[in-house]
Amino acid sequence: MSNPPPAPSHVGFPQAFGQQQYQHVQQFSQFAQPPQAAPPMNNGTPAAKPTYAANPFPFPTTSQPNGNHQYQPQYSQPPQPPAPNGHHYSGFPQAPFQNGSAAAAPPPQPLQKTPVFAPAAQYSAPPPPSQQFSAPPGPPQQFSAPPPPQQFQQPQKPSPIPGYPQPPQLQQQQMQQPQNYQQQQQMQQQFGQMNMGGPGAPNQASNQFRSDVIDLMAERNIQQYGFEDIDVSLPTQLANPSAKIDPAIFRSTLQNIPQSEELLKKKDVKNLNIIQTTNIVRCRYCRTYINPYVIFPDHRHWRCNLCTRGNDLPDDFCWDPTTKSFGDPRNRPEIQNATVEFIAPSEYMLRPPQPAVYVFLIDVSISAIQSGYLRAFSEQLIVNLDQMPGDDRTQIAFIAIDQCLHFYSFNSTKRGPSEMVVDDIDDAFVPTATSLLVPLKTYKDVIRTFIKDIPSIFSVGPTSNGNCVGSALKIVHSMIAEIGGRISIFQVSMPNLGPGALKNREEPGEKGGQNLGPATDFYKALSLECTGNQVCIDLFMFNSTYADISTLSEVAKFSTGCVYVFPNYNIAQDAYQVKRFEKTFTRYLTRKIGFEAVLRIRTTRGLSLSGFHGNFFVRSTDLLALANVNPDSALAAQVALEEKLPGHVCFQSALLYTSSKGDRRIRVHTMCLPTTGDLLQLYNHFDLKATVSYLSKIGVDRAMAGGALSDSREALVNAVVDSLGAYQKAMSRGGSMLVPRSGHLRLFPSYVLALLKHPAFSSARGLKLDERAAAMMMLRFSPLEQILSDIYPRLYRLNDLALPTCCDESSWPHPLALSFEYIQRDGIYMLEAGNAAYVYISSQADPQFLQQVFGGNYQEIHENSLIERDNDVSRRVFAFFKHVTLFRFYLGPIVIIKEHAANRELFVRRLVDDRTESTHSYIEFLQHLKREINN
Amino acid sequence: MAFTFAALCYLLALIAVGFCIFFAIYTVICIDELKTDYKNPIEQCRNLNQLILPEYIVHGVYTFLFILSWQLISILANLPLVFYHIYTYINRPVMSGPGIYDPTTILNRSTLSSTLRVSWIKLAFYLISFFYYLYAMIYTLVTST
Repeated sequence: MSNPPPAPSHVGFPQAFGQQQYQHVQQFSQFAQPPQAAPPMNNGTPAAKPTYAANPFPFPTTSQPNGNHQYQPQYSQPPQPPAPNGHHYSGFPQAPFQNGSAAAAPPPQPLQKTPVFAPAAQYSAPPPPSQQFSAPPGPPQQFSAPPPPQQFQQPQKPSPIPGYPQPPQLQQQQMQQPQNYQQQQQMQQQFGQMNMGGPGAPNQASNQFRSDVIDLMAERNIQQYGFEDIDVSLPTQLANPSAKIDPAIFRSTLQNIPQSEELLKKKDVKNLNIIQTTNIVRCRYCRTYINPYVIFPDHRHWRCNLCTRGNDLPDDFCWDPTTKSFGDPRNRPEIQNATVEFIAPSEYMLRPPQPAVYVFLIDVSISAIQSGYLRAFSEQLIVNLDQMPGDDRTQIAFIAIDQCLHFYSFNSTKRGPSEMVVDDIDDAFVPTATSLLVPLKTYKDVIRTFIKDIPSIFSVGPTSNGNCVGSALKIVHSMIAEIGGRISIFQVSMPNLGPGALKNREEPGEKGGQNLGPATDFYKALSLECTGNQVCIDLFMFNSTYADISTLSEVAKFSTGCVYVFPNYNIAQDAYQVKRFEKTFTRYLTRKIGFEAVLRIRTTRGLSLSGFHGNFFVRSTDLLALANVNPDSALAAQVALEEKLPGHVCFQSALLYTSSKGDRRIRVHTMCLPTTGDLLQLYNHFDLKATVSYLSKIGVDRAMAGGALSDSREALVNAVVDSLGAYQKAMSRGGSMLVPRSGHLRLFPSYVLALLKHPAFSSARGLKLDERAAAMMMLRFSPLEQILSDIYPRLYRLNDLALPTCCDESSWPHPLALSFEYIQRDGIYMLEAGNAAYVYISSQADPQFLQQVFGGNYQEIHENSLIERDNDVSRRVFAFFKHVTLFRFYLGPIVIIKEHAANRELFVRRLVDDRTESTHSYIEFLQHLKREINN
Repeated sequence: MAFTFAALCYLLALIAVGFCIFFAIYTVICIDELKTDYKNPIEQCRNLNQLILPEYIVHGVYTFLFILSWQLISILANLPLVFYHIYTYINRPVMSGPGIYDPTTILNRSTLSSTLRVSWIKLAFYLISFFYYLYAMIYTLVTST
């Protein structure tokens, strides 16, 4: 919101805001008197707001205001009550509604399933409806509830809603309500008459009239409402209230802060402002970096937004480096942007920046040779050797592991390396002090040749089925402990020799949940030591038999590592995993990397961080030690409320790291959110994307720490029961499941159900222990986007891409609900599901479309039919594929699934809204939730 | 007045509980340092873990002595703590060395506060025990014939 109405801050109770705040009470109590219900008047909310243009992973749905327009033809009859003050809604030409009164809980309209697309320009003007309910920028301290502190000390409170105390202000408002309601009704009548007189009024009115709640029991197609990010508005007295943090980087589960809430953060940024400044302006007291949400009382001072204490502004802060002139301090890039990066002076270094160090630990035991992963490994490494981040000092080492350790010593720039074998793995030593870890630049040619030879070196000669990765890790750690760096492990078999040897713990027919914790603390201790020496360990697993990922992943868990699993990798039989590995490995090698990082999150006074979830080591209560940072990981932090909050709260995360170019940098993200005392307001600003990710991380942490899996499952269900239940209570209407139209609460049940069916939490039999552990690790460290699409895959209908008029960049097909209800007999669908993408072809699909895109009829299509062909439809389809798969390195190649093919199960399994033998369908789950709530 | 076995038990317990008080104070200080100062949790946990088994053993031994001399009140007061110790040690996180504190989870707000609370309660318990054993020792010395 670029220009919120000027709020006379902290004085009195301005009329406009009182009214606005009041309307939320009004708008929900309307259902007590159904037919004359009125939509709220939102005088104070400006129409145009900047959306998050910089979002690197835009959800396809976000480009459309709710995607409602497709249903327009269905609702052309005039509704019973004339739309009262409809002119406020002129911005919403095609809002869906449910016959005017949600109270009557009408039977679901037979919704047209095929979206009818129309030119996008027509719909680009209206703002997303969620903005209608954005926070009033008024004096929010009036509404900030003083919650009893002990209530929020509870650990891991997934949903802050249940114990929400009604603030006294709100009760007052409810008491005033009847009188105001009459006034409103009079107005409604007047406006209604006015509207009736106008030409074309009924049609217009039908669209303008909409209810603000949805009945989940009645409304099946919940996906149609989209899943766009929620916008918030900030008070104007801040230095730059229009600065917004990219929600892909830093987001909160609640866009309005009531009390306890959690944050999700990603260490990834695309458009960055790098600032080189003589002095970095920080708060004298709490060391906060200056940011857009500080307050400038005058040009000489600034007031910190976290500790609210005053600071002097240095003289040179009025100098604007972009225009090279003195002026308003607000023009500084620190104030203009919510995300900035400073190049740190030497005070921020404990030692000179380290060079980039990469060590590759490759498994060459017999099963590794059989899987043939070395071929893809060597191909991709050669291609990307020059693209690996680092400066001239970059160093590299290779160690092969079977029953002994094979070191490769690079002595000359001409001859290839000499191999040294250490077979005393219980008491291993580094065979030579130099020449194992060598500068990449000097030895580039030799290293290149060596990498090229790797597959042939190990394809001949004696191999063993031993693996001593534990001892290798210890040695490698001692080799690079002085410098720090990154160790990449490529593991095919279970380590069975030396320190850290593991046993098969997989029990046949287990229900799941056992043995998810580590078998030994060897890897954890090692990983803690590594973190202390700034060494990060990443794990690539290619196992086809049990390899105890739950224990092995401990090395990555506490050293900021990543775990990528390619089950049943086989070069001959499984081209899919090979391609996926190549894609992931390329991204892994070339992505940006930062070394020896620490991350500190500061919060406004009154909030405190109470827990962290992700791969890192918690060094202190607000400080995380990260040996390496990369753009493809995320972490979550839980925030507890300790005292009464001011009108807005801020979170600042500062990441101090050494870039691969060898300079020290500080990346600062600041997020500012308004607070509210209104429960319904809170529900409208409930961010499901962050919540789902957070809930899954909590569940994973609990299960991997040895808790029963059923506890995690129960906690997930309780989270949704609590938040929905509290909402039903607030609405005080039983019999149906109401959710607000804005906000994300409506999608909560379907996401939780999907989470319960996710391999990480599923109670299905026959799930391998390693598969579950891999799914859990993915949830633990992966960024939001990946987690969301893995939990609730996105299903697109491709048939509409055949229409020449249909689609361009801004109106791609919308995601459908994941049920066979939406799979039609002539349909061709694309499913983007976590690390896999599928194209599903029904047997009766349009032959012309198949011919154009797949180059043959249904029978002729085979797994390699999907190549871009020289016609418009194929180009459009591929443009759409590109749009979906862009930036998602974790997505494997697109797999074709025919309706009658054997691999159909892959597709069917991901339709999580349908019931299976042991799980609920979406409707059954809703009924289950309803029973739980009513109890 | 005679120096009975019960009096000897109380005397030993008095000395032992002195050690326990020291352990408890040390734990409280260490946890508090974790909370407020930037101490390294790995080292802090290592220090604390070294003291876990000695404390449990010392406490177990004098409880056993009370059972031998059949001091009913002291037995009833100490048995719950013995069971609590056994319970925590069985359910400790996976680790190769002795101890119960895990440096990766200790800084979670909930773990930290519960650990701190437990060590305060233990400190209070040991202090009360100390004075009770002093009183009980003198009482047995005086009353025994």
